[in-house]
Amino acid sequence: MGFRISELKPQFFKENPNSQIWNSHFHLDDQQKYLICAPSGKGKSSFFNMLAAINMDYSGRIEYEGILLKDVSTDQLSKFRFLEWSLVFQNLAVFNNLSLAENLNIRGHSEDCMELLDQLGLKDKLDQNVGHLSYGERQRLAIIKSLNRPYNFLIMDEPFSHLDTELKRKALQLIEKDVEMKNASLIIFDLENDPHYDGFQKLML
Amino acid sequence: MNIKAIILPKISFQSKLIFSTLTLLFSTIITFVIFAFLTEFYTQKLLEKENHLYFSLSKSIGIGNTILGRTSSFNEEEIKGLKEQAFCSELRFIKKAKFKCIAGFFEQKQFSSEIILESIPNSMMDGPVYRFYWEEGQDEVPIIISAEFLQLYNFVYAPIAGLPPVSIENLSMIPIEISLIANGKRKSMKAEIIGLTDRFSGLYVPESFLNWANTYFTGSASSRRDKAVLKVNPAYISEFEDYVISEALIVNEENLRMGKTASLIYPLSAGLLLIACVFIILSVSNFWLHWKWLLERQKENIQILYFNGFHPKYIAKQTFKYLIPIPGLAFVLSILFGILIWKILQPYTLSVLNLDYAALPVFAIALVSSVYTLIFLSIYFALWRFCRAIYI
Repeated sequence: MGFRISELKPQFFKENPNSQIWNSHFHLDDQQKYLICAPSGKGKSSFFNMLAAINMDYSGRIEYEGILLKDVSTDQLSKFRFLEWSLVFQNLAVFNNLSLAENLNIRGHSEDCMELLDQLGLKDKLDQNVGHLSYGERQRLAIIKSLNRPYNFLIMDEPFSHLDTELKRKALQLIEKDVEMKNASLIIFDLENDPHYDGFQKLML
Repeated sequence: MNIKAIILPKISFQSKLIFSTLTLLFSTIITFVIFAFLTEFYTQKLLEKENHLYFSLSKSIGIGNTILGRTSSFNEEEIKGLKEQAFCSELRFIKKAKFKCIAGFFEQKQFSSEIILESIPNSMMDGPVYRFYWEEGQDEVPIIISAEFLQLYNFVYAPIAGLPPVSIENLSMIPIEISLIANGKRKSMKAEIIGLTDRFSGLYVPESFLNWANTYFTGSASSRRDKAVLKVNPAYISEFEDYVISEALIVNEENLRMGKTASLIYPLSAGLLLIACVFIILSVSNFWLHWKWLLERQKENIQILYFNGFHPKYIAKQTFKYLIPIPGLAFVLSILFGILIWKILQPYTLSVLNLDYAALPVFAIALVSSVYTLIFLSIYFALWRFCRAIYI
């Protein structure tokens, strides 16, 4: 069933009148790939937080699996976040005081994602404290962390902002492969549409 | 999964110091409470058990009495005067045997001694009063002796004579024969020491037995009113003391001292208990605030755990697991300290209150366990509330 969104309107900023998101009805369905595109300051992170049931300052409805997110119970929300949604935040939301391996062990085992670590150049940094890694390295960790767990929806807020083109390509390839393998949906928020996102349904914010 | 590293990444030295201090504070306070409670409890028990204080009272015999031929018995006017006093809840008289009594062990006749039998109404007597009855025709006479006699035997006579100390249980198993002799008559009977009295210093038989025996040997059951037993309301202990002095009466001073101590200990221990409770509340708040401060610092990390699907209940449980060893340690320490302090203070409290303390550590442990259960539950509840409040 995925997400059902209708008449969504943010409370604390003026929405873009040409948006395909605000004040409209649309679905974010299972086993689909979506790119939500907008320049800075147009409310990408706000919408991301609304989908993740972190931000409730809006009018309109967001339903997930028929459950209105504004009324969701703690038990239900924890279950969604634990089993159904995998989130990559713009600020990464990793534990800077733990090592890279410890971060991966929070919701899985670092041994299970050695290939991902290898491909994204983090294999030799397993024991390093995340606080000592570069922002780009932490961003790659956040991507690997989000893949190294079960999910139905992988929702990523500007996941490649600090990666070069080559790394972005590699990372996106790995993400798409994992999403297909899990028969899941992928929602990426990004500043602009680029050729890497061929095959994605695009929604302008 | 290393949740501890996320919730409590690095507890600084200062934090550890605060923890240790709190632990000690907890232990000390709980110990303090135990002691205050015990004092309170036993004072209470004393006042409940001896809701009134009992005194044996007699007139002092001076040269004046001898010269003027005054009697040592209480006359009607004096009895009336005593009964009118506010401190007097009950006034009775000790009856004395008007015959000679020789007590000895059945098997070793050479160990015999003349004793003076007295009786006090059962309403004034302590010890196993439910067994303190005698009916005519009954061959065995129950006797209650002063607890002081047993102490005197165990701590003074037995060590000198090289005899083993005895308990009241041992004593009741010794077969005793009493020979009652007067006016050419002699009667032998069996006797059993059934218990001890803390109130009076003598050897006591049931009043019914003494009435019968006095009648049997002298034809009259009545005896002189030389010694009164008085039930005194502890609230009027000072008035009683003043009266005793003004009327030149002789009273068993041990009981008087005990009554005064009890009336002093009660408000003192109640005050200590109150202070201890305030300290407990303060230290638990301090302990919790310290943890809350630590958790507040880790709020963002805890929220990342929430984004990963962890339930606030799970986080509260995990935090509780790391937090609980501290009051847990304080719990163990306070019980150990409590028992230690009790052991050190036991002889003093024993002599002051003159009570059986066998159940004391059980009460202390029960009290501390209850207090800690309450603390643990409150901490868990507060943790759950905190984790729930920062859930997004």
